Amino acid sequence: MERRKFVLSLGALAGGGAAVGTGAFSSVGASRDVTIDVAGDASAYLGIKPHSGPNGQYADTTSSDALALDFSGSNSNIGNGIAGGEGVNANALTTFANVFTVENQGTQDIDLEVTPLAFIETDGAPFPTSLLLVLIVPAAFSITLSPGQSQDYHVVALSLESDGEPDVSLQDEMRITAEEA
Amino acid sequence: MSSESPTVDDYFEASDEYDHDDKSEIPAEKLAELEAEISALQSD
Repeated sequence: MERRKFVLSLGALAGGGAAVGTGAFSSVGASRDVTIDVAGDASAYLGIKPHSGPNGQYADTTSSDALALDFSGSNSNIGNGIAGGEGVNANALTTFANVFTVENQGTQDIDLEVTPLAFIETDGAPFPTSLLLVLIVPAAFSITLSPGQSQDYHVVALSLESDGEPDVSLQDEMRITAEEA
Repeated sequence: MSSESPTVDDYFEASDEYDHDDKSEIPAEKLAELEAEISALQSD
């Protein structure tokens, strides 16, 4: 008897709701805006940009607004920030502090990594007369950045030329990876 | 921000596509200079 009462009262509530509500529908169609911009490296959610200091001139920007490290005669900042230099000195260790910056311009913490950090080119093994070593130097290999935080990167180049003639150059790619922390 | 400070050897280890034998062509005193430079940059 008690169970029967309970079931009936539920039915009364459901019936009342249907009678009072005005939102009954069979279908809804609605349009909503979706806006997604593809931004250049400097203003994307993962901001990859030349450092604001003078050595940021060595981080050139390609035609597609992508950052590119360019310590050569093709750097477009030559004559407009770089006063004519077209490469590192032979038989020298050259340091460029604060060349580029990676900034978390998103919404959550990220683990940031740049690979490779070492580039080597020689004119042949086993006894090269020319060797060029370039290191990308962060504060640490693996870095966690909160939104708004950034990491600066330095570049060190070691050139060894036993015959005095600079005859090696280096062209390669570095990969910048950011994953949710 | 966090994590360990890498050494020169770590830089080579992180660059698998390069022939590590090339590193042996670098005189020890030059490697020492390089190590000091990296250390200075990381401590700035």
